[in-house]
Amino acid sequence: MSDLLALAFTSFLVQNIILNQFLGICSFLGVSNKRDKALGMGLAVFFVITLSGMMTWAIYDFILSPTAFNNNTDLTFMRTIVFILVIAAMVQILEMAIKKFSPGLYSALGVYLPLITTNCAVLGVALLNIQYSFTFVETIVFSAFTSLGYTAVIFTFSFIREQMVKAPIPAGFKGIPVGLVAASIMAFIFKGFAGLI
Amino acid sequence: MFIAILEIGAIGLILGLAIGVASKYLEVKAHPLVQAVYDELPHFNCGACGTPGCMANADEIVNKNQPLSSCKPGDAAMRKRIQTLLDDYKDGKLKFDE
Repeated sequence: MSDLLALAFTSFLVQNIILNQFLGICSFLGVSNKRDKALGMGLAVFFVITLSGMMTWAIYDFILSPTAFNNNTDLTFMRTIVFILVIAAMVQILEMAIKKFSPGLYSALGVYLPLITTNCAVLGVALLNIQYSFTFVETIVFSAFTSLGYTAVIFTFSFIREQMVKAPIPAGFKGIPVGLVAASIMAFIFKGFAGLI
Repeated sequence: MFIAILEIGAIGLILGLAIGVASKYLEVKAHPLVQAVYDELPHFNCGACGTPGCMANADEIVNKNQPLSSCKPGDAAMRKRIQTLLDDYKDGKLKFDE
């Protein structure tokens, strides 16, 4: 149990997916200018990462790995293409669900919603689950808390972005450039969590 | 190798069926005029018009007076067909079953 708590804490803060591993930066900068958009994106990514993490773990262990079916055929070389297939299908279904139940969020997220498919954070978590050879419970904890870390950081960052609009920033720095500067300072702060575990 | 082909085929089939079932239950009806305009557009989804795709551009043409020339791959014949659709709808000649 304490192992799982440590894993949750590490994946949420210490090894934060955006500020420590630098995955998923595209959508992090793209949709963090309004807080409701950022929260919607964060929840969509949380949903996709957690479910696809569980599904890819099951597919890897029960279908692709050499021990599956007891026939010693090693299909692990197919993991990238199979994982992308699963993630693409999940995002497609999620997109249809958001379009039906929340048209406002659908048009606010725009092109960034289908782009969750190519969000490297999603594939990154799926591959990290395999690389660290997690058990199923560890996979759930790691996927859920990594994506919650994404949600927390993008939501916090959207408050900063909203306030930054009011600041007198030189024209060349407006928008993404000053956003990257702010993100780097946030990354420094998150380095401070490294001593906790 | 055959096992690899079989397995990726099976996974693709299952996911495809899941998407098919989901699209049945989560279908959102577009405005029939938007759908009619969309049917005339080239379906390239190139984004040259400045919207994320042809469906979004059809929506802007109908609801936000986006000029038809915004569609770069479309030719004059396409613009004429869409203009006829829009004019007919405005004059009440074109009616849809709601």
